[in-house]
Amino acid sequence: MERLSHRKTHSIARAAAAVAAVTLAFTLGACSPGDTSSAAKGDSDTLVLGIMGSTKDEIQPYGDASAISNGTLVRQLYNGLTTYDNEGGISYDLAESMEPNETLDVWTVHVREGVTLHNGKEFTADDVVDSIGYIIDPANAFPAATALSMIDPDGVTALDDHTVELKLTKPYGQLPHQFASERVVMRSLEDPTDPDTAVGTGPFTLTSFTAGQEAVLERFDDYWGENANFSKLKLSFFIDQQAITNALLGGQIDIAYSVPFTDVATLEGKDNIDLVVSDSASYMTIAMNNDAEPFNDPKVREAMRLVADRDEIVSNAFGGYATAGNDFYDKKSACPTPENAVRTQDIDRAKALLQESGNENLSVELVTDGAFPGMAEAAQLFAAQAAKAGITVTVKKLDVATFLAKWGEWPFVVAYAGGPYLQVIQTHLLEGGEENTAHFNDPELNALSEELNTTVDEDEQCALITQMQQIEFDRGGYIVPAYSQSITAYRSDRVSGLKEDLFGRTSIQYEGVSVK
Amino acid sequence: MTEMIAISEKRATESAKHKRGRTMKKWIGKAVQGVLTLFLVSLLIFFATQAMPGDVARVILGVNATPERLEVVREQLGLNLPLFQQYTQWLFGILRGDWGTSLTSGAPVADILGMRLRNSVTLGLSALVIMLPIALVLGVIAAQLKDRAFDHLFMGTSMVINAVPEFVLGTVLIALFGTTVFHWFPPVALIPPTDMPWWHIAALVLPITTLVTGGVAYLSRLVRVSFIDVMNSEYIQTAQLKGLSTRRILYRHALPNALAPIIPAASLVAAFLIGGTVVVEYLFSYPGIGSVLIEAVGNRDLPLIQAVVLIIATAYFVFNFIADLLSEAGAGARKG
Repeated sequence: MERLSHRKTHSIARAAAAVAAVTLAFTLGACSPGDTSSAAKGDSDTLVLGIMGSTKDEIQPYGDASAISNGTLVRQLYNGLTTYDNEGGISYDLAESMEPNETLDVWTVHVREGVTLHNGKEFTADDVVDSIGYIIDPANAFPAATALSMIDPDGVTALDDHTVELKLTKPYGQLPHQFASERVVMRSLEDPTDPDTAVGTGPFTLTSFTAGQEAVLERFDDYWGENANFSKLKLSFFIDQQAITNALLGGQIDIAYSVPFTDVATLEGKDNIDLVVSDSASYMTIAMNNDAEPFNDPKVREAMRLVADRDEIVSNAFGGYATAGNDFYDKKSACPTPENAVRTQDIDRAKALLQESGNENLSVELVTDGAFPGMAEAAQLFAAQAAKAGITVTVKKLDVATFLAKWGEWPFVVAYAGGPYLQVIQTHLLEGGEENTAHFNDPELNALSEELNTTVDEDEQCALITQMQQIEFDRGGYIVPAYSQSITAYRSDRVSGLKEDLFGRTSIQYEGVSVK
Repeated sequence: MTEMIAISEKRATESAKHKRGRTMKKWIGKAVQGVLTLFLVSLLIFFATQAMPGDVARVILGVNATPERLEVVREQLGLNLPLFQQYTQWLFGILRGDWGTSLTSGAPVADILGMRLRNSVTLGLSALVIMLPIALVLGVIAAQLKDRAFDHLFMGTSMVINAVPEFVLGTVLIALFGTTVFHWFPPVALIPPTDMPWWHIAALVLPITTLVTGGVAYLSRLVRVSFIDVMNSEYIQTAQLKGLSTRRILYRHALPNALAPIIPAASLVAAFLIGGTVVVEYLFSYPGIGSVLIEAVGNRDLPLIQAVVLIIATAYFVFNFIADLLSEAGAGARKG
């Protein structure tokens, strides 16, 4: 070894040189002109949105409505007959009006004139008939068919180029609301050989799409409505929420569709990043299956609602970006809500109720897929709060496929409700509703819902909705611990014109939005 | 005399031929074994996926999965066929070079994976090419400076890095060079599907650095130990006594012998880099086969899962095969 030592300096120097060479090569490479990864930094005509994506996303619009990335794509490419405005009111989109007959079972739709499809042809009543027929065809098994279940498949007729008649299987006064569903959109189906070609009427056309990676869209200059002030839109799909925040901080994207509540503090401190905080119609609930032990006992349900410390959940799971929930579906309609004080934690009363029902040492499993920010955290907090009343709640976080495998069968499950009240009644509160995970089936509420279907008068509707919310509060199957808000983060040095939105569309509505 | 020589030469060639034949047989045997292993892997993955709760039809339909719709979608996707038939259909497809279509997106698996495989290979290969020389140089220096300050620093640092999961390492690098302290490199590796990954070298820096750091910490320690062993061996000491130059000792005698135990480790690292970069791909949202595997498993998208697992298993097999070849060749060379 001794004899080697005089060469030591030499070999170290060579090693250092080798490392330096590699590093240099790399640094030089980093400056290569081909590098376009930070397109967001310079291009004044391209907006880049970062959003959670999935390889199962598709261009055809009538799939699973819970995939937000797919919903974003659909919104740019297509329009519905009606839509919801930013505050939750309904407005006409491709329809100019929708009028029912006296008995509310035949509706006449006047289709907007002068609307151009992405293939250059005019959008007509035939396209409406084709689209509706395609959506409700059982052979296609589209989730979007749920919203149109009251339409008679043989009763969809074009009366002329711009008028469609819809016959229903039962009187239904809320049809315009059903057509405002995110996935009930209109398209051209002239080329039946390739239903995946996106021929819609939306503000953007599709240039390229790779599921789970990115979509590139071009502004459609013949769009009939107000459009964006930039010409190219890139949707970057992520598989990890944290990476979206990082990409925003690193300037790789202009807007983050949503950010986890835990990241808000970091983002708030940055000079060139701003937030849009919106009240939201989308929030988590905890569903208790009314048909299954132990929740078939109303006393147990009441006790579970009483153990929740809503303020703690608001501040700790949602970082303060929420208001205390009151066990009914709120923020989903413009109607006045029941004037009940928010349920506060009452451990003694909960214990007493459990004792009365013979469930002193209650032990239950609460399952969640943790799909939305704050969900898993809120479930954990609830479990800790329930422990104070001697209830053992074990939170189980499952992957989506496992979670869906027993959808509708879980006795105790973290659920989710988006969309307006009129849709929520169908899906969450009536027997057979596809998201009625609580198996709620209340004769009085059912009757009110029937009554609601028979009126188009807004005041009457509101009176009925308020009564239904009261029933939910009194004896519903859901715990609604918090009405969380939705947070969109964006680069304020690049983007302007984003608007608050009740339905989480702040980052995907580009009417009047500009990029610097 | 000449006859004798001729005969012995003939014998030598025959025995060499014989030997070569045996070696050939051995490698063919290994290759067959490899193919059989891949077949078993595919069988295992198929039934393991079947055993997982939930199916792809439910994932596609989400919360709107009515029994009627489930039936229609299952029929469309061929999920109602007997398991055996589903498997053989897939297997014969693979044998014909047809990887099938993704059950969730309907896109051909070959299309989805072609681009992602290119990205993963680029990431893994770059990391390997950078990692090997660094690990070698660091290991040799540490061995030469054994028990000195550099060696202690090296041992301490590499131990810490080895103990830190890649996820943490990557997160630290992102915060340091991407988002919080410096803004030198993009924190997320967004490679558009139509672009070659090397067009976006800046975006590759952090993922590659994460892989290289972890790999170097592991491999350079092996190099160090192996080198110290060899330098202490008798023949090196003899060489030193014979007065051979240090360079000659290092490169002609020490290095080839020190490499022998490192090669299998390096090829395992290589195999890992092709398929096992799942964590790094996920962390940087890098569009490779690792990140698509995570999604495919979540979606129960069997053709996609099968294809990715087969690719990873093949990579492991091929690199092990190469490692065996190399170490055998090395041993042969040393014997001769």
